[in-house]
Amino acid sequence: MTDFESHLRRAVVRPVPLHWREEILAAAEKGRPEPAASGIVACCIAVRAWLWPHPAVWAALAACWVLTGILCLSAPRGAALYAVTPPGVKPLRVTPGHYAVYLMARDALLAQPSRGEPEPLNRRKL
Amino acid sequence: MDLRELYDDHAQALFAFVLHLSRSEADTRDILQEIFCRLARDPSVGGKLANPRAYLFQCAYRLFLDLCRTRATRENHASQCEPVFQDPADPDEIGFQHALLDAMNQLPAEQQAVVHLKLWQGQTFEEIAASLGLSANTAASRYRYGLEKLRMLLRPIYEEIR
Repeated sequence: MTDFESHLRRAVVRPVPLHWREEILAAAEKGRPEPAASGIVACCIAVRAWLWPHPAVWAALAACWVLTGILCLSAPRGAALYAVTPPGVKPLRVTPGHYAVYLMARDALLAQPSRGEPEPLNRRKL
Repeated sequence: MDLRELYDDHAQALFAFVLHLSRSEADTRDILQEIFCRLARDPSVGGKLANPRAYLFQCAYRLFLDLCRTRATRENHASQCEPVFQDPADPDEIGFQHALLDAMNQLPAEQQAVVHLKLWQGQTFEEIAASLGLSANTAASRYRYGLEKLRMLLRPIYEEIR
């Protein structure tokens, strides 16, 4: 070590302020983790940490997925989907009387002379 | 290892190191507190340490570099220039110490760290390498460059008071 280095070493660094000891150690003790939590609590903490920083948003998204899944599974599928009549709609029952009325109405319409028949295309005036 | 024991054994050395680098008592306190809070959060670390002092210096140095990055410029950081050394009885030495701190301030942080650990902590280059996560050769070359610059900057006042 040279004289220059020895001279530099003569400078003595200030001591650490005494009150820091208790303050720093108290702050450190506050940050010390709690004793091990029970299984479910630890699981909740782990899930919450995983969902950080917006656990509420992630939970809402998960709830939406669960609801969608439930609706999807509870709805009819395949042939059953077509066999289902929507609630409030009565199935149509055609009786012979209804059919006779329908035929009479159709014949009456066909028997009427047609009015205002459209002119053939080649007679139209432009 | 017990936190109190760690504090009692290493706080003074860490204080000197970080204060020398940061030149701010408030930042030094923040860094020290962060180190001990980390140790408290993960108590298993303290028990595993083969060389607690090297680990603590490494933490302190990294936290200091993080602080510098957050502050963007080291000049802003060092502008506070709080006293680092105890006032000596000799008035000439007071002037020399002020000049020394100004000169140290002109060194890059990595040279400052090595010079401090070598001169004021009395560490070997191997110990410095372990503390700062360098090779011993890098530590030695940084010390050589740093000391050369200090010698150049302090030559006039050093020649005067010799």
